[in-house]
Amino acid sequence: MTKQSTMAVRHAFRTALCAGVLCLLMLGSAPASAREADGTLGLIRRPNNGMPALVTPGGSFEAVLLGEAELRLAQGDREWPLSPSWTALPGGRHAATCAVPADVPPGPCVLRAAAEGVTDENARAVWVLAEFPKEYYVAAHLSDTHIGKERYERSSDDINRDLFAEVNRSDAAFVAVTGDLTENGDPDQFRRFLAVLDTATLPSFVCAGNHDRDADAYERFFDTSTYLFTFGRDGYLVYDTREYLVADDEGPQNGLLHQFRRALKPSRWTVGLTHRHEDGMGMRAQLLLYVDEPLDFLLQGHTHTENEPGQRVPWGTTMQYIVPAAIDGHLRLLDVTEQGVIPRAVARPVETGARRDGRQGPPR
Amino acid sequence: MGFSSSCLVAALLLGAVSGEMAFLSGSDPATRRAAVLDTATGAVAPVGPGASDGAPVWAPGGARLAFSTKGEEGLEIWVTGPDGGDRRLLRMGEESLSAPRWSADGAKIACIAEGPGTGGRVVVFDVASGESAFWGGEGVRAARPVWLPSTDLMQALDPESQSETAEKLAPLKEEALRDGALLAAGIFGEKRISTELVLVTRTQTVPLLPLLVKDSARFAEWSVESDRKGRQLAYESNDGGDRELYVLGRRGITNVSNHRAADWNPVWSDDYQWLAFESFRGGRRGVYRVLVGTGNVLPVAVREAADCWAPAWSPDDEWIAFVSDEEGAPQIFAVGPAGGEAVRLTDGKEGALAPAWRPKPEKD
Repeated sequence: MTKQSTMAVRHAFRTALCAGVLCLLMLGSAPASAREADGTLGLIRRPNNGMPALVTPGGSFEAVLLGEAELRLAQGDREWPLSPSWTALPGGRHAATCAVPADVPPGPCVLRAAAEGVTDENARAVWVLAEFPKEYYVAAHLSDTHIGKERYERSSDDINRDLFAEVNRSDAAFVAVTGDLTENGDPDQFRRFLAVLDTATLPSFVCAGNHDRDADAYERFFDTSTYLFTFGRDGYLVYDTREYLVADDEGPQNGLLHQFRRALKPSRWTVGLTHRHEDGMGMRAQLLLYVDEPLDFLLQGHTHTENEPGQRVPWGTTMQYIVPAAIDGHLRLLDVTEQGVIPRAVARPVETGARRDGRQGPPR
Repeated sequence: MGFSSSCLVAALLLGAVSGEMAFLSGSDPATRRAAVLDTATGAVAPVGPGASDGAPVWAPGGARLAFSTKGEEGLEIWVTGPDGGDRRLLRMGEESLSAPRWSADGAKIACIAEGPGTGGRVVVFDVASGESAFWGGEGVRAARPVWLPSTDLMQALDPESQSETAEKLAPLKEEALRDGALLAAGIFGEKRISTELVLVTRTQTVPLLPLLVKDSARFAEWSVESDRKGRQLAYESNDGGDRELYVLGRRGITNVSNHRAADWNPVWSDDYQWLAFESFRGGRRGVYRVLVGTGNVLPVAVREAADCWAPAWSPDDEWIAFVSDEEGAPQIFAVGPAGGEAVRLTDGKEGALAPAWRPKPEKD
């Protein structure tokens, strides 16, 4: 494919997405994430607005619910009933394989569920794309939004809302937010984060950071921090390196990582999305993801500083891109090409205002 | 407390399984608690504080337990009786201590210390006095230490007394005979790290495999375990392209698992004829066993839609305990080595991980 045709596909892709989003905004009826009244997930666990399903018309996606339910996709005042095939999962959950009707136009969809008097819906949970890019697209990377950490004159909500607005104005196809979404995992901070996240006019994928841990707070809002998704020919493996769990060779994550890594093996590029990496962390996960079946790229945050040029995970193979903290006004766009995932310069497009402690520069 | 309440259902299901088992209870890694399960009654006795407790390990003879837990200064080692009583605390300044393992005589505990300026060193505690010392000399990072129960294997490493190998091992043997010896995964390199099996004595650390295999440094080894007599070592390596189990014994090194899917975490049977291990050869992570002498691999616990992991042989080799998430939250089950119907041992109310059967009392 020539550069011109690549650009044309990219333009068409972005145009279709923007048109869908604009259409919904104009209709004025796109509901906020319904979830439960307190913002936690309800009947629908996945997909959700932190780990959405990406499909083309006529394609299918998998939903996980607490029970079997009648499912619908909605855009504005239009609804499409789905005819899922159900599979019982361990723990009493149910998986629904849902074919997307061919006449659903590109754009974000609300996923609605109704069962025995219980209804639930999750906006921005399913994104219908006209097509996936074949060779080239742009990804946006944010990390360490730290909603609730008020270190600047401007509120953490405002700084991050402006960053998402920048991402919306960019040519990114999706945005990844790699942990420390909140300052200390407080449910109100998660609700505030959701309000910021839902200003994104493109699919948004999140994972947990060490600051997001307060018992199972993260899971109540986003269900899981270990999952995979594909975008075009590329595979993304999202995993949890929170404090404590990073050294956890006892729990289920290692098995999932192997399963997901193997599922992504046919990908053009495999990209890890996680909050942090330190070589003292869970060795099994490191051997799996950086030695035996090395990821091509790792996108992370945590340090609030940028990686060194050419930095690799110290096992030697996986390129490591660290984005400084969003709470300090930073974001990065990455070009995903046939030559690899190529980071653009870290941008600081958002003014944070002066530090409240009177000191200069981003604090660490 | 609810934690210790016995579960009638579990008791009814227990069948012929008997004996005590240490394990980790809890779903949140931050509050996991070391506990002891009476498999005959289902009664559970908490022994740890529930502060990110690590996997409990029994002393030879089963009189005491050791596990790491989070104290005020970082991770520390608790040594307790099977009922949680007679507790001793092992600390070493500001070092964070993890991965304890008992010596064959039960007098010493080796563990890993990480702290300011210490990126993972082997520490050995005298259990009676609480005195501690770094082992292995300066400048070597190590992980996952295990005691070598005898020096038999070291004798086998130098059949030619004039060989270069013998020369390297001579001072090591002298120390090993006097103070004991450990095996561990040495972590070498900074910009490009890898793991290598090492022999550790009070003052020395010597890579083990280069004595036998010239290009062993190309591969990353992990999970070394000695049989009860110290005559055979099982370990895993990515030599051969994927992660396989190898056995080092008097006849040299043998790949005993040999499959294109990953094979992990070898655990010796008490009669040291078999290794139980985890493998993905059936799709999901399952528990298998291999007859070491022939390499014959047999399934023990394999599920189509769930993982099974963390195998642990009963002291009489009649049962293999394992963890499975087939009912949602991970629970501990037991099954005969030939597989078949498994018995759930834990009550399902909370996650249960890292089973370790209580060893038989030692004969005088």
